[in-house]
Amino acid sequence: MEALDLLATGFAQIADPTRFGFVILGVVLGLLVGVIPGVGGTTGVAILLPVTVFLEPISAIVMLAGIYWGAMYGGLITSILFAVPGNPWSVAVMFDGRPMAMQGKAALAMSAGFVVSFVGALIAALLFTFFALPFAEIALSFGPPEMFAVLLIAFGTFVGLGGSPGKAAVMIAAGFLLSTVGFDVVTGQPRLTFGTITLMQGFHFVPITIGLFGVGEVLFNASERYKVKIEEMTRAARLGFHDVFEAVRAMVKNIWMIIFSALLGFFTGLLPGAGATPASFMSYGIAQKMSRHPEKFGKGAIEGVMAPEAANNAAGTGSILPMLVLGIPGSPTAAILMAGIFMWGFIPGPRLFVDQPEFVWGFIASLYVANVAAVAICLTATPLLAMMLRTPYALLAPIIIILCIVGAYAIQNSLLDVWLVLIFGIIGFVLRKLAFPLAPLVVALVLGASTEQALRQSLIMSDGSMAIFFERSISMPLMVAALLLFMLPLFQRLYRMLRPRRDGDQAPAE
Amino acid sequence: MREQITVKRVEIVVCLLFIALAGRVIWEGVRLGPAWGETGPQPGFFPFALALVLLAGALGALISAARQRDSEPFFAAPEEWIDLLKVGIPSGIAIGLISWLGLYITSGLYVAFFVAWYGRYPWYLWLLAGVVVPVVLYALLRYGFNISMPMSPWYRQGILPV
Repeated sequence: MEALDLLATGFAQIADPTRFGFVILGVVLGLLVGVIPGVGGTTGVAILLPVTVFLEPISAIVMLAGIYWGAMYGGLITSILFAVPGNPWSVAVMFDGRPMAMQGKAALAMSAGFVVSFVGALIAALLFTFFALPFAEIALSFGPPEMFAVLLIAFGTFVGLGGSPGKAAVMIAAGFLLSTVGFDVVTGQPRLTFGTITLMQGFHFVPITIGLFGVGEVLFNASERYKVKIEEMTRAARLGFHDVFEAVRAMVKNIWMIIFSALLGFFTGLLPGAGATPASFMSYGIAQKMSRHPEKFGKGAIEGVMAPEAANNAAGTGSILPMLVLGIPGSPTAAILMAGIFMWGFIPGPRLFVDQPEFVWGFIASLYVANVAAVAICLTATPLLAMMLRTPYALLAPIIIILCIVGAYAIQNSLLDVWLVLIFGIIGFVLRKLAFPLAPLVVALVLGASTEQALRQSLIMSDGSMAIFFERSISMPLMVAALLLFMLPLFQRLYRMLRPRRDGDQAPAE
Repeated sequence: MREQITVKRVEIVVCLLFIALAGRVIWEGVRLGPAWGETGPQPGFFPFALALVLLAGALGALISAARQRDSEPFFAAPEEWIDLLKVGIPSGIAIGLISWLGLYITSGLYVAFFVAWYGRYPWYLWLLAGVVVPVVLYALLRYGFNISMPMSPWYRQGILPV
């Protein structure tokens, strides 16, 4: 049980009062960020990333990760009370959470959500603990060709499993192109600078992410605001012991469904293109199919709240694993955490487990601590959190914008970055409106340099022959899998064309 | 006017912009050398290949956008773009002002203006917000994290502390 020993050393790292304090601070910030409409967990992590440069690495990562976990819990409150999903993965929870709130059972729905989120995250944390080391050991044997193949799989999932393959391809290419601006990693020649000196320093990842997610979200929510009616629902936010007790009983009754949803969530979370959103919808669908009374779903079935919550919290945890082990983030938030790990002077990937075990296992231990803290705070302080929603928007919107500016400027003291925030905020708003996925762009931007390096190193190994990817025993199947993922939409199209049509008037897939 | 700007049309314009970008990058890639050299790709190879992916993706998205029959307006209700501009324009102005007035003065003015104009709160509240927000920011950034922020010209002359 090597993993348990290592986990114990991780807990010893976290037991340090300062670090423990940063875990709790992160969770509280995350809960606030999750509750406030207009800032998701991704934005919260992105805005605070520059600040963490001034912290020691373990405190920094546990705080940022704490924001991520906290935001997952906080989002539940807004979804159920106000039908404002703070994140796309909170949508499935609304299907039954909202009707339950209308029936005056908001407190029960929230308690169930919190308790199940905790169990889902706990299952994922356990899987994380035991999978991390074997995964890292396999990954240690990877050379550049294998790394490149794995990176291709990551991008293949965006194209193959996302909504629109064309849009995903555009976003991936755009992210990569942004990352190539500046100097060529091998020859040192300036690329894509179009003769200007300002572009030579390249694009930093942080202002672009803050723009796309922070300002983009503020603008998007500003335009959707007229739909939101903050009723007197804040009163329903009081959770009694009775509700918690009831929620635990419902959970025990459906424990297998919850474990299944958590497992599904965890493994979907590992794939960059999939992640928490499809996991929550899938587990909702499966819970409905498995239920003895599926007709109650959508009308306030507690199972309909529990299944997606278990899945999306597990997926959030799962999305961190490939980032830590392979250096491939499974979600935009994981991508930002990865950028942070670079900034703190480490390189994410299997070597991290060998060189920085305290860092890795301190982080893994913080998964447990943060989730215990989050569920405890949620079950006791939900009324306080819900009060945050009463903060006037007129005050909140400018503060969020100012924080975005501060975060972007702090990273390299450049006013150009402040303008980038505005420009990418507008771009983010338009792309969001048109349903272009933003995750591939962010992930490609972060992975651009390492992908190019993996490819170039492979090609140097093989004297410029692409055949190297198909000659090695590990990279070959990975490469084939990646190519299949990229071609999946093509197969689907062929299948649709060959299948006999029942009705001639079929709506286009988009 | 609002009915003219449909999701479909905006999507087509965005795709065309992406195609233009791809074209520009392909040009740049050709200039840098898009070929496969002795030891692997030349500097222009990556931009060139990526621009091709961008081009293909944008064309695909363009075709599926053009095929859409029903096209709902980009802004479903007039409130959408009014609220968007009400939030967006002051934010844009604030971002522009920072390079001149520095972070703290700009944030005070911006918050006070927004609370007064968008929130229509009485004068003592917007005044309070306009003072408290920059002061808290200053305390946090200056003393908490020791991060330097853009300052006003009066700071450089030694007249103001920010």
